[in-house]
Amino acid sequence: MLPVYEGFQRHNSLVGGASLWVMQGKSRGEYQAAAAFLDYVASRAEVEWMPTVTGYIPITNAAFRHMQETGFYSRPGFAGRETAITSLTFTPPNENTRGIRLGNFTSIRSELTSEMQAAYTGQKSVQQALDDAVARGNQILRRFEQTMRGRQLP
Amino acid sequence: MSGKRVTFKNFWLAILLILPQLFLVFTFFYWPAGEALYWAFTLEPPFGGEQQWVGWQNFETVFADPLYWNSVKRSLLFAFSSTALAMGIGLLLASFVDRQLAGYKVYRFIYFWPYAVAAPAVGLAFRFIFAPDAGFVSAINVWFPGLWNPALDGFDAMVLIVLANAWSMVAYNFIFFLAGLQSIPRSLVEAGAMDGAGAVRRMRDLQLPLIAPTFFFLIVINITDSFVNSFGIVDITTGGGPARATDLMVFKIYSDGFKGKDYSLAAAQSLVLMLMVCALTFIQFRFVERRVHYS
Amino acid sequence: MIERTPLLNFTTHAILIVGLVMLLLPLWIVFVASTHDFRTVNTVPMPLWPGSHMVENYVAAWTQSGFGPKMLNSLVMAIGVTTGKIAIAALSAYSIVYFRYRLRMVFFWLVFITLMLPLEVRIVPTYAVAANAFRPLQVLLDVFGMSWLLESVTGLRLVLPEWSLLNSYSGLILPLIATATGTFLYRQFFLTVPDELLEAAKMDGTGPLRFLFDILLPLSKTNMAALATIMFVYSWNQYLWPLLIVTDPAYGTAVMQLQRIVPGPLFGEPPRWHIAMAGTLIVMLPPLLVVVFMQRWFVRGLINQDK
Repeated sequence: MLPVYEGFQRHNSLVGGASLWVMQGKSRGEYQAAAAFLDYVASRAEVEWMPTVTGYIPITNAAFRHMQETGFYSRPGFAGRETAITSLTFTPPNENTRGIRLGNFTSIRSELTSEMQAAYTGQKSVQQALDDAVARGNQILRRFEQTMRGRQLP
Repeated sequence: MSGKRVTFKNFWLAILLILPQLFLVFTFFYWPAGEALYWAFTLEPPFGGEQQWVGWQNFETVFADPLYWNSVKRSLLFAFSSTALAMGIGLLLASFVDRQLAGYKVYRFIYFWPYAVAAPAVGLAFRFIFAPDAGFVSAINVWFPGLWNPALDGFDAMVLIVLANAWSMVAYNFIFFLAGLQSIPRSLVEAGAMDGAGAVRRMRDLQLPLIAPTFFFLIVINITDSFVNSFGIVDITTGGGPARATDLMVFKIYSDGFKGKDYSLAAAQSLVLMLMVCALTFIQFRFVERRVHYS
Repeated sequence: MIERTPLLNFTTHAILIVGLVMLLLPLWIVFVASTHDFRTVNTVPMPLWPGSHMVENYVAAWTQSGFGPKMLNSLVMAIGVTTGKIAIAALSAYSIVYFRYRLRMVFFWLVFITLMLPLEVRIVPTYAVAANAFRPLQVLLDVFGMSWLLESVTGLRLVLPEWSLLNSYSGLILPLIATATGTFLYRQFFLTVPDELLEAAKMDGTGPLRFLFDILLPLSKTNMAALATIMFVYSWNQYLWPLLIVTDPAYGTAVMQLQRIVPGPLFGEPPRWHIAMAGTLIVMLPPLLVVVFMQRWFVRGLINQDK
């Protein structure tokens, strides 16, 4: 795992990546199909297949434990990969380390990317860039809030 | 519009013949343009649902955003530099091909090739040619380490997309300048030569004024094209970066609308761009009329 | 040549050759890069003479990107758009020029003004229309009370079916077919056809459709060829629209594929420029061939377009 500065507390790292969404307003049959599909995606065989053929992590704890028991992480070529899980589960997740779920997240991420590029290319100080990214991100969130007024996120 | 002396009378057949075009134009041009207008005054939830009327708020947001003006500024810089470059080179090559020395047909033939290459293909080719760590231009980094890097330096990135766009536009300008120059009666140029005017003088005082209409027509076409065709080049080479140095207007509309799913903001920006393109096209129409008058 | 000026002639040749190098060098570099192996293509400075790995690179680029079906899709799209544009341009220009009715000027301007609305500036709402291409028409019918009229007369409610253009050939083709320039070009051509032709045909009792198909269209062959070359290149090179409307790889076009073969850290891939450049050349070749072999028509079409 990456070292942390002295005097700072280590938290679990943030999870990221693609996500699947089931939208509202569909028929009962479609929801049954969606549920079956999600079951299939989360089934142990499927979850274990992904880390075996790619470098990705298993997405359920059950699959991870099973892979540990069957010796996946001591096989040559796969050893050391459990570090990712250790890092992700280092502390129990709190509100700020649960992974990001925001309205217009893609826009916010692209603002962050651009501001970081500005910092890396020396156009702004890192602090300035991060402050600007926060300000831009908040603007986007306010817009999202207004667009979705009166709606409850599930 | 000058019409035919003799015509057919069958009204319904006439309507039937033009109906397919009208359907397409209505469905894919006027309706979307109208919808953009409506969206620009509402907040549109990305996955459907009630939109709310917000008046001018979207435009206020757009115009108050320094990053929008950044994108306008970059677009204008991009449009004017690549237009100047493409037209300058196009005119230079056309005027020398027009001298019709031995082999000029070969040049005329080959100069036109780049026109066939799709904008994203130009982008990919130029991305390789101008890559900082491989390709053709990277050699200068061997002699002057770190001098060229479009991934880190906004200026380099702008140079890269301007050159790519200019390269792909030169052919079009060349063809039109050549056609313009060749429509000047040979005898006129010869008369100028007999009066002792040299080639440069003839170009400046005789040929250039005569192809002025072509010149203005091309300015408008080039600028419009660089507004609308820039997407393919930017998307493949720089993705708007680094730090928004190449965040051109069409690319920003695409990323705000389709990546960020803020259709209202994208619609407001589309409308501004639409007005700009309309203004340019309008100038061109005015001018095309005069051009017909000239010839 | 007007006068003898050795110095100027020398300059002329020099500048023309420099121009040639400038315009061909990018194509040459793409070609050279596509003939070397991974190591050589990444050396700085890169070689400027072709290597010996051409065949394997092209085979790799072709199979990795699945260019077979993608080129086919591009071809279907390009031919569809080209024929569609020519047909629609000819028909509507014929209606505007050869028929006398009051609305024709309105129609002409309706078509002509679309020049001011390039796809790129109306991309967001056009994409929304693509989910159901009949929606605008349905709204129009509802608003003008035609649905109501029909319902009260026949008792039938007119509901157009939903017609999604996403992931389909019609979606790739239809929105690109409407053509102001093509209509304009055909109108110009029809206006140059002598009136005597129609008078003679009318005397023979030829109807409007026969006159169009048997007499006018065959006369417009040059026009058609010019329009076809321009439109083929235009539609083959479309990028933004296919990118939006196609999510199913089965309908992906060759030009769209360019986005996926960009090597770079973004995709965590080694810089396989040799494969990328082979792919680029494959994608740019068909329109390049059209321009090279049909240049006469092409240039004629371009120059006439704006008159």
